[in-house]
Amino acid sequence: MRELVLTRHNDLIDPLVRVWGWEIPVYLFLGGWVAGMMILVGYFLLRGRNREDTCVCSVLPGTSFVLLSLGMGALFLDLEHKLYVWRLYTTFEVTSPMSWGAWILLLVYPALAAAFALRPPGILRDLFPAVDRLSRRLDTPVGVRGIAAANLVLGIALGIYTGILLSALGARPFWNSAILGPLFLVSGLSSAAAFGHMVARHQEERELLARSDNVFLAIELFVVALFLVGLLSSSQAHVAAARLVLGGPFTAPFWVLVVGAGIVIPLMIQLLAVTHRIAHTPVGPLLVMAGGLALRFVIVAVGQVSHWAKV
Amino acid sequence: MMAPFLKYGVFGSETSLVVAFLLGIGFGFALERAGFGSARKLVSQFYLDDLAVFKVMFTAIVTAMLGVTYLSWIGFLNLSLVYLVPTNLLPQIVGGLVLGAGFVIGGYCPGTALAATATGRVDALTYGAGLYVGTLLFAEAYPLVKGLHTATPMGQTTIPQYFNLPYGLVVFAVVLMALGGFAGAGWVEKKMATQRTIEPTAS
Repeated sequence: MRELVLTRHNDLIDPLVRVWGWEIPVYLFLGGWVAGMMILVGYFLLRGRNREDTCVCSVLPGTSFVLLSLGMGALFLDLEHKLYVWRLYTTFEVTSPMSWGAWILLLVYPALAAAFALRPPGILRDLFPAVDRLSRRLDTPVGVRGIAAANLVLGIALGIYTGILLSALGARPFWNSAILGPLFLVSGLSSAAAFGHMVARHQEERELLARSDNVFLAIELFVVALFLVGLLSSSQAHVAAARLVLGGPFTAPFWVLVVGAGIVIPLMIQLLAVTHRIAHTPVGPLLVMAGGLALRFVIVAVGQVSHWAKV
Repeated sequence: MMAPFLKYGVFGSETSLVVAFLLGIGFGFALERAGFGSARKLVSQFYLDDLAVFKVMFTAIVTAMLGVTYLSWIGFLNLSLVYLVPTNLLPQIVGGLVLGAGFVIGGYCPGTALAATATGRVDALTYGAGLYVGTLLFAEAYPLVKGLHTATPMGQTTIPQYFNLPYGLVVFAVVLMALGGFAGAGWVEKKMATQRTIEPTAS
């Protein structure tokens, strides 16, 4: 034990972690956002809205594909040994969130591709007749339900996994909370609903997504409160970790960028929009998405600073 | 004495940023809900049609001034610790004129532009972008304008100090000025409204 403690000393992890820069928060944000969009796609498909030309569910899979690839690119940049990435797929470790994540991400792509293939853009159908044939083959009641279920399940798994990835790290008290999974999931859902609200072409759909986003934002606010209460009612190290955002050096970024500008203000703007007191504009959705990104940046940064030593 | 809270260590600089954010958002929300997110409403004060902006802003100044005065008198606020922007008379007059000209041309002041941006007004967004471009240009051109920017320095000066008048007397004078201003604004608005009703009949 003594030897372990001595040899563990490393200026990259003691007393603070200095290993994660912008890549991980960007990946966590994009992963969570895509997870939210997959859940929305699953919901819209189950409701049979894919038959409508203006359904936002025809835009979300393609966008998710691009965003997830960007996120994976950021994650790849963070890897120390980039050429060994394939080794993640030579095993499945039940107790490793990273292993779960690697396999979930591998399954997410075909689920998104199938959702995309249900309503591919006309130009793709014209250029590649095989796409048109695939689309017709998938577009059956059983096929649509299967794609919807796959997107729902994998979306929830991806959203929760992005939080579990951090909360599994017991060495950092700020991350060591079971609430992080639901927090990242609901934040991803609110970013997805905000994006859908912004790009929806149908008035009814825009209203629906704005209302849903308001519910997600309200839940997110509640989950943030639970997260802090959980830390404050835990060990001294967890209390010290919570104090980093309660008067400590991360107070302003957390309360101003994440809670204020990322949740409360867009919630107020969108409440005014859905009650028809102001017009629907991209301001609220953009703030929600910026808040989601800020949440990941703040959580990753604070977690790296929080520690068990000298509390 | 308890206030200013930051100076007396009631909270730290990080929390003070959160308080500033809350106050700013509250102010912006009140501005927008009062109709000051509309360039049309804001600019009508320059045409003397609707002086609501003048009345609201003067009311805010008088309310804040009386609040600060009373809090100081009851020993809650230490006025000597309240931060004052140093006075540089010439550049501040020039800056005021530039801001006023921008207000008439663009229809917003910086605060109302941000409040209007929250409701998605594109003209306010453009104005807000111009604000940041202007700030950048000022910073880049600072060596050229430094002479004007630092001209006529007077330090942290207040009207009672400068004219050697009792603080309470100046407060009373500003309140009277506000009351006179409100009465004058009401009279001007009525006069303009009468003119507007006469003009179409005459034509």
